[in-house]
Amino acid sequence: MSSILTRRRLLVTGLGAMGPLLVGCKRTAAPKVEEVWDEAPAVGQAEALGSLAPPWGAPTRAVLDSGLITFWLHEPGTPVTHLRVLLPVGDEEALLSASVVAVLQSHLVATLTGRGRNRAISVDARFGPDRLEMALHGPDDQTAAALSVLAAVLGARAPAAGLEAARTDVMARLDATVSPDERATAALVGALLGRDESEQRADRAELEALSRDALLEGWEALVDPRRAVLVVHSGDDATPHRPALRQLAERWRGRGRRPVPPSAIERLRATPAPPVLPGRLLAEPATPLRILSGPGSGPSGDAVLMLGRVLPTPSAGDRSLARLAQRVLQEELDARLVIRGDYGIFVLRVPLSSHEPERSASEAIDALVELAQDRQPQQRLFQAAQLWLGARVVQASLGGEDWTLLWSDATDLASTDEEIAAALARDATTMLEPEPEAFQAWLRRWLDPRGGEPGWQWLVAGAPERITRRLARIAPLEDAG
Amino acid sequence: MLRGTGAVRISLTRGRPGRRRETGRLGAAAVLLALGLAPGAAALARASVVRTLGPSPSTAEPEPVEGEDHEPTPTEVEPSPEPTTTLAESEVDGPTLQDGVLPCGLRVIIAQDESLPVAAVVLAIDTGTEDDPATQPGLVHALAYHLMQGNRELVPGGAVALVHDRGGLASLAVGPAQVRYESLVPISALGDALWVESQRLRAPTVSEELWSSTLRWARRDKSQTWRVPHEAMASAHGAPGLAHDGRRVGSELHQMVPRAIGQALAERFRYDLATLVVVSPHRPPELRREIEALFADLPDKPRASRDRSPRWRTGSVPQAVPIAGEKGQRFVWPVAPDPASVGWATVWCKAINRQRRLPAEPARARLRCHVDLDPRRSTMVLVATGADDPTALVRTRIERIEQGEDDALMERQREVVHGEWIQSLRMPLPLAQRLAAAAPRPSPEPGWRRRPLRWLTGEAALDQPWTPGTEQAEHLELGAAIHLVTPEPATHSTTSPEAEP
Repeated sequence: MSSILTRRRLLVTGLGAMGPLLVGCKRTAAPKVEEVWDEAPAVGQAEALGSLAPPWGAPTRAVLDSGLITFWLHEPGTPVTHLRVLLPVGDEEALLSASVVAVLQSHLVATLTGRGRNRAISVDARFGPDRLEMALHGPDDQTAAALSVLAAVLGARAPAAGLEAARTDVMARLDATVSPDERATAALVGALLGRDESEQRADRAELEALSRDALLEGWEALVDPRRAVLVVHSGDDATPHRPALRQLAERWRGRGRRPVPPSAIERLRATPAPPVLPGRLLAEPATPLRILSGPGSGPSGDAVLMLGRVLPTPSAGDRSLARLAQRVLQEELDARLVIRGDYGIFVLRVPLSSHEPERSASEAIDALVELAQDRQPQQRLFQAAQLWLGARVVQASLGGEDWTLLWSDATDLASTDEEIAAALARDATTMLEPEPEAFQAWLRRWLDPRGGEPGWQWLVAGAPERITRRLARIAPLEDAG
Repeated sequence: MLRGTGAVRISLTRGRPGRRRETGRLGAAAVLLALGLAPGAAALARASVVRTLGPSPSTAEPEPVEGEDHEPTPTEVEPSPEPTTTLAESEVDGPTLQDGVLPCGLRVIIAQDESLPVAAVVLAIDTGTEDDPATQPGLVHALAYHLMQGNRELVPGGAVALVHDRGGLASLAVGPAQVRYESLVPISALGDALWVESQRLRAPTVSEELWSSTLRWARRDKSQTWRVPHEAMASAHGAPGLAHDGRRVGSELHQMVPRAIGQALAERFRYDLATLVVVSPHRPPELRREIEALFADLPDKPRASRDRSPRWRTGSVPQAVPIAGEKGQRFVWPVAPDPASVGWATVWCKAINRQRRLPAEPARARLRCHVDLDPRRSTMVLVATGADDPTALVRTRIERIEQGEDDALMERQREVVHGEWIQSLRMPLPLAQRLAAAAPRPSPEPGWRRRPLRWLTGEAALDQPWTPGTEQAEHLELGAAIHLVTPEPATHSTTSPEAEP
């Protein structure tokens, strides 16, 4: 998965339909739901090594009486335990602001780290599509302790002081100036998803203006176990840890009444589908080129062009074609792709020449068109697939062989909870069997900005007026401020 | 087709009939340099940056090494045995590995890790910058780079490109006493990675043009920052070769002709001086057969190992070593070249850094400890500040540990280090790097043995509770250290005759 897109909070907002339930009323402890353990494996055995996917067996899936869904991945003999909590942020009004989420994330990292340090438990955080992920890693004999740390931190009712300290910390770390790359990425992804740019990145003024109540409402919405998913990778199976899990459920509970989505996939995909956009690039109907004002990214004030679109990825075949296209393009252009279930976001970053910016932009569009016109040899596609899949497992190994991280990636490739375990292997198998004709047809339809399906957006950041004047020669401009 | 910044593609024909590959061209940034064991996810994550290693310029006079183009002759005798321990290898439980010596003299260690479909392959050659001829400092470092310029089977940069094109990582580590070629690959590329290592040392391509290119790469490396000057490391280990800058790329190297380069490569980079470590999900017997076949055409040769054990000092006071700029605050211990000794030195260091100040000690007295990690030439450095008599401060603190007064502290630090090792060694590449640092095989004769993995990694030794007066404290007493002092006559009075090594 592309690094820039995953590092930034690109997809973390939603409609917030549940928001009114949380505002301004006294909360009562949530009613218990029935604790359910899937005694028989809920999923089939994954294909593994041959398709460069993790060799995990079927996990133990359980719904705790707090509403928390857990997946327990058992790897006999592993001396390390990894716990990953997936906290959706896309569908809550209280979490629409990226600034709120940044403060909550900072608080979670600080408190989990503080409590885990003496138990050799390390903590990291990352953003997935529409979710915040907190991961704990420690020796296998500290599994119960790690669950206890989770319970203590996520079960805190109103950590106002901690959140205030986190706000100060986030503001201290926030860059004084936002780079054109960052602005352009946030604006483009916001436009593609039909969301506001301010929902995509933290802002100093907004951080300062955040009220205590806004942070506490965000906290309550974020750490609700009825919306969360816990994934555990351990040398033990789940059975000896059931008491610890029950204790976790006892100490970490949601508040108030709210729907409890029954599956992890539903919880993680609560946001609505992105809007269907009409435009093409350098063709009719033409999408105007948005201009974001501000200084350039490089020392010489280099301007950057970002263009992209939403790609439908309802099947493994579609996802494989999208991934192959990104991989083939990436050999020569800066192409990124984030897949979230049945859609993905494709972004191309193009540095603009200061002398002939319109030529840089046109050449990037031409490159996409040419790729769509050329039939790629099967061997080239196979090599691209091998490289991408190989790099994924190598990266996973370098990152600590944390199966929960790969499981999180797998959730973005599955339609149901039962499909998650096999999703990586299934998509890998599809990628390794590329069909050049299908690939070309897919490219022509989805990645030809001139002749393919409409839905393209583009914008420029960090461009001085001289450059924007030249860009006006090839496309209508739209000042986005 | 897209136009843009695509890499130049060159074709590579491998020795196998009918197989033809495309590879990318090697750039300096494609090769990662690392020194020492440095296992762990964090250390690995940092590997994306080209790192440099090796001594910085030294002011000491290195002892002369005979013959400027000559490799110091490896000892053909059995190296010093593994450190004495109350724990016997046969008592160690847990997973096992295959440890063998092939008829060509190559040592092969095969371990299994089924966690992910990836494999780590490390070819560690028992030669390093301390083996540079006195007249050609930096030679081994440059030669290590040159072995990436290909041979009759590989185009320049072909070995690295073969790994990268499959999504893997390739890196080069050059240290004072070991050169390692490391790769982490998806298991679909394991066969290629093994084949590359079976070819790497054979008939390397040598030309003036390639040598110039090699020296350009070598010159980009920056020196590794050690905690003490190189002459101090040389004195501590009793190894004069450590006193020079192993990264230097001087005119002596530019003047080398292809014949001399080829000869230097043949002398220093040999399979009978090398260890091949493979960690993969495959069953070791399967890999054994494949590896034996890859090296079967090499001529039989006895295994040759170098003994990198320090020259241990005895006595009750450290040996004073005058070095310009020193204030008499630093003490340096050599650490034995095996993972268990490095582990225990780390435990000591952590404990010393956490010792409470005694009431009798000056309020400003402070002792800081650091271990410079290297597979063969680790050193432990103690810095005593705020004390009128640094030696007395160090002695008091060490005696507290040796006499069991800080047992709880030592035991806690042992548990911490042990836990860190367990976490890092579950990943194939750190495990392979650690195994490449394992002590020499007990028998150099060809053949295979099944051995406990935890024994070779040193983890079994670190799993033993701290017990004062045992081998866990061996060579860490004050008399085994050197004391870096100001080069003035008065400071030599601290030297005791019995402190001589």
